[in-house]
Amino acid sequence: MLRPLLLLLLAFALSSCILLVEDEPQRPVQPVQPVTPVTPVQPSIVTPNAGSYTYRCSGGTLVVNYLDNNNLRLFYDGAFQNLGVVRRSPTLLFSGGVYTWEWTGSRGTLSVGGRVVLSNCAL
Amino acid sequence: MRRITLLTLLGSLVLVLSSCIIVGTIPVSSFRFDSNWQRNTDLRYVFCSNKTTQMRYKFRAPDSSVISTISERYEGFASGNTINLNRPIADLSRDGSDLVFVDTVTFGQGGVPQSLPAGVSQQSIIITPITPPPSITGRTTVTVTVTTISGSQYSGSYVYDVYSNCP
Repeated sequence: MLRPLLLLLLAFALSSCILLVEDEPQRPVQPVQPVTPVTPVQPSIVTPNAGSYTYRCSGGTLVVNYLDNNNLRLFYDGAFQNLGVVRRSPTLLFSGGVYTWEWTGSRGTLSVGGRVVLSNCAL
Repeated sequence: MRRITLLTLLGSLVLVLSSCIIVGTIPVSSFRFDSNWQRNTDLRYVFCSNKTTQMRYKFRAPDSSVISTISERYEGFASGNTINLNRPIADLSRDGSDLVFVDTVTFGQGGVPQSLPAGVSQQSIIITPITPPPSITGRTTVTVTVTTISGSQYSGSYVYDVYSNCP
């Protein structure tokens, strides 16, 4: 007489456990946000230390005098030409008048009026 | 008669003095400079940094034994750099009454406008006329000073325009 009653209680207990487990609320599925592609950041080219540098280029030599972080002067066409920094990435670019000096960190190019006159300049 | 004698003596004195001046020649004189590139427009000698460039200087020194030292000074106008070199007299060759120095000019960085490899001499250079582009990229003043054993100094200098993209 007692055994069926115990079995019945055990059945109830187990079912309540199952119910407890099943009663846990389900979380709503979050919509997946579209991933924006990341553009890699180009590192800035550092201006060489202030001072005078004589570069050897395809076409001859060029003397560039870095005055500070943003300004330089170079000797071309028989006179000193003053140039200021325009950008630092992806290359370091100085410009002044018709003269442009582009420095990659290891090689330089001098252009006059948009025409390359000295290229592959290195120390 | 006394007056004629006095005039004769004075004339003789003048002649003796003038002969003394002729005997006392300057030991070092007449500095001349050139290179193997000569600008057509004004016939001045220039350096071409994109070509093999040779520089030559000479000076009149009939007696080499009176020379103590030869020094060279290179001043770069664009770079602001200056180098001083002592040139052994053995690097110069004799051409009659002249002593001659020839060497190849090396351009580039190194804190100097150019450097001259030592020990190269005794060579002739062929001067080529050129019409360089307007792109003067430098200006180098070369000064040579010769000191004699008596301590006297004689010097000469020349300004070379430096070009890139010489044809």
